[in-house]
Amino acid sequence: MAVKNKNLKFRIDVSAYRLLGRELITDRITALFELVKNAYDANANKVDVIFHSVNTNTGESKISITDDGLGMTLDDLRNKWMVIGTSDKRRSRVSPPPYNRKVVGKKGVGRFAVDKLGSKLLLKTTQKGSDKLICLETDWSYYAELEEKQLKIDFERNPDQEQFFTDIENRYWVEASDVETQGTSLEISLISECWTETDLKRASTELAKLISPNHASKFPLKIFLQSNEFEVYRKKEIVSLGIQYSTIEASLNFNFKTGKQEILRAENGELTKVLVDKRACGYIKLHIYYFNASAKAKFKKAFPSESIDGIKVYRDGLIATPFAEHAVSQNEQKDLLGIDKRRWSYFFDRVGTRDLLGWVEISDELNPEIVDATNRQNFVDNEAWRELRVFVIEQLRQIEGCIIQRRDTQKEQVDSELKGAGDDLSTIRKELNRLGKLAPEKMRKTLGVLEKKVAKTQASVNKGLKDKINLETEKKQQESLMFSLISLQTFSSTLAHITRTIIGRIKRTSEFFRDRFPDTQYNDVFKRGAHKIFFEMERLSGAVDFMLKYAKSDSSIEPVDVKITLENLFNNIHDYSFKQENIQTELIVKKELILNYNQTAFEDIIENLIDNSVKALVCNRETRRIKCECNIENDKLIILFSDNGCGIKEADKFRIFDVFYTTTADEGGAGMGLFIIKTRMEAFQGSIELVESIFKPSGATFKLSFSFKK
Amino acid sequence: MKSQSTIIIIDDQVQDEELLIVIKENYADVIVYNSSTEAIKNLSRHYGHRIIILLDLSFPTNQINGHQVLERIRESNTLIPVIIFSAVNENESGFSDLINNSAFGFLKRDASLKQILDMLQKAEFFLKTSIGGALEEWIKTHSEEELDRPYLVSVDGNNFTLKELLSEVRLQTEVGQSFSKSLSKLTIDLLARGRENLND
Repeated sequence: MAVKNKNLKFRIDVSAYRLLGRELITDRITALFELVKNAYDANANKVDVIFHSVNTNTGESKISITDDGLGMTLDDLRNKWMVIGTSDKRRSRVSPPPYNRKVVGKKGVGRFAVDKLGSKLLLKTTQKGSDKLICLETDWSYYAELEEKQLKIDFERNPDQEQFFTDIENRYWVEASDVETQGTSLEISLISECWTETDLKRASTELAKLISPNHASKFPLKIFLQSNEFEVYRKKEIVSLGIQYSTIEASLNFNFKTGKQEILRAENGELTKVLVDKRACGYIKLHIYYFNASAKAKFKKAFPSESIDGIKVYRDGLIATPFAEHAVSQNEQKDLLGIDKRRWSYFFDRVGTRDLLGWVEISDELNPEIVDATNRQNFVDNEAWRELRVFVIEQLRQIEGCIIQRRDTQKEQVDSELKGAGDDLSTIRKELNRLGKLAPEKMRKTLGVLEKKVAKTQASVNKGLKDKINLETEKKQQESLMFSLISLQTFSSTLAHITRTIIGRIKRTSEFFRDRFPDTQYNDVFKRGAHKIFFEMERLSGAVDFMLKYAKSDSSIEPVDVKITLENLFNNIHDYSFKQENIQTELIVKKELILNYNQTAFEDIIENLIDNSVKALVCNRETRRIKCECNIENDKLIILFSDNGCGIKEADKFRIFDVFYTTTADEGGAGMGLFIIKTRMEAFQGSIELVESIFKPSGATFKLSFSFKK
Repeated sequence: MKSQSTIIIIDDQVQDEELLIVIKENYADVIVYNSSTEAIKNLSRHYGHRIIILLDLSFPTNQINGHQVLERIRESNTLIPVIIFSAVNENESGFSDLINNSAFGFLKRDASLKQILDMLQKAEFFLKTSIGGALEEWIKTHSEEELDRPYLVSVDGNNFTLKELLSEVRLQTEVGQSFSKSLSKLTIDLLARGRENLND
């Protein structure tokens, strides 16, 4: 059958108004945002958001949004406002001079936000120099009616004559206008929901977040909220919230010329800045404020309607759409940056979104790859957005480090003060005793009582100090136990895997023996089988020995034979995985070395390094190598541990020792390894650092230094 | 008598001499692939035979893992019974995709020879009795010449030879499924009319 070429075109069903408005823009405060954003793009200086009799829904209820922006001509209205997804704003990314605002509406659907607020819209617009005020009326309820009608089953209906979205005509007319005025006003009636005072308060708080307080502009946009019903909102200017009372604050910038980005470093309870290469997310400006419990209380008292609600992303000074989605309660607020998702928050002194206020400043020009997802709920999941999240979390980690350092210093101070108090009391007691001997009879008795009281107080102070120290030691032990358990978990699952494989081999070999022996044709098989059983049993014994060491106490310091320990790890314990992954190992220990250390901790460190190297070697398709070399330098054991795997990116160098920082999540990395090593090393006055790879240009080399002293 | 099914073992570390001996005693053909990547490359050439696959899950990281092997097999063939033979904990998340990709069974790495043979036997029984298997058997009774001749014309006017039909059935396409369905309907109909002997 011959088929003739014909053409078909897309048509749009009337229900599209719902998809674009009510369903794309999920709540009414977001809808307000969208409309105010349009005003921003039109170079408005001022937007009035007026709520008229909205507390109860009557025929009088109206919401209007009026700006003094550039306005539209009839042509604009026809070719821009009435065109869905109009490309105009995408073509010119900057609003007309002298404002040069980065335009924020890009999808050309913001105007459908109106439908979320009410079903009837009266738009009036005029430009400077024109004496015409153009008025357009859109009645979304008409679209709804039509949709309803089309949904009904009607056998008589003729699909070809049905009206589509674009067939519906909206009435417009022209009124007279002052030549000098300009702007656009949207009057929305037949409102869909009532607005209470709480709703207005929310609208006001949320609108305040629209513009970043840190983005300096010569032409700011002022937003006013008005209501005829609520006294507070007679005419309220919406101002961005002032930051006061924060415990820690930090601002990061970048240097475009040198290609460097600032990041935070915590040192001795202070935050400093370090310059690193630009990250994959592009240049970032960040303002971040941390509030501890008492700071939060002060803040809440000073700004009762504001809340400390985390870090938000602003693009060119204006809040990025995914963050503009308003949530009714803080619990429902989306944690797009993943701040609260981090595990064990109570354990590792995590800060959460409720302790933080922050502004991440990005721009269209410098961070073009960070793009809103079409549903406006999130950003497109790409490398840039992921890297931005990592960047923010990385800074938070430094703040956390700073908090811990400060607390530790404070703790030491308290300890020494307590001890000082105890000493003072002892002096007073001695003094009282001496005075007692000199004083007359009558006074001696009183002095004796006093001395006893002082003695008692001294005892309590000393006991308190001791209890405190005990408690801290206990807490430290718990933490260290936690770390061993985590590595134990990974270890035991590997061990179970190996054990099961070994048991299977032994079982089947002996089963064969049981069922077939004697049988001359299998004599050789029987003999090989016996050898195999013996060999596999030896391997099992080794695994059990290793497992048992974990059961031993964790804190004792004992002589560790470096050579034997390393040989055991390389040639027995990990031999299996090295062979499986085709990894060539080279272990250089010149002579026998005894280190006063903790056996398990030492093994843990090397285990974790081996583990990391195996993961890093995945990408290497050539000869895979791991080299471990021991040397002695000035009373110190230096271990250089290297592999020729994928190496560590320049950008990652500062953060590889952070807990839960991982680049090998796909290979099962949890970001614990290097953190465990670092804490273990530091606990014994050792250190670990990343040095130049001996396998350069690829690979990585870690330099570990252990002290021989006890 | 040895079974005519082919057992394909995909495992990077079969060191079990005894296992191979007992399987070879029971099955005419045993093929071992030590590399999963190699297996995937060559597997389709065995699809013409009645095969059962014994599959390990963990392979060196530069090869594709067992889950992916199963996925690849299922992309082109939904009839072959694949038995997972692994030391991986069954509760691990990856196990769910074994269900999604319908693994025939699961053998722990420490299973005995008997358990392994039993599982293979079950798989063979399944092959012989399932509609797909029976259909495959029946299609295979035709001569080469018959196989290349158009055999069936589908509703939308396409011609299918028996060979093409077999591939449609294996891939479980719409045509393959509807053909299998009609065939079982016909079988029931014939049985209901008292014509027990299907060769009549």
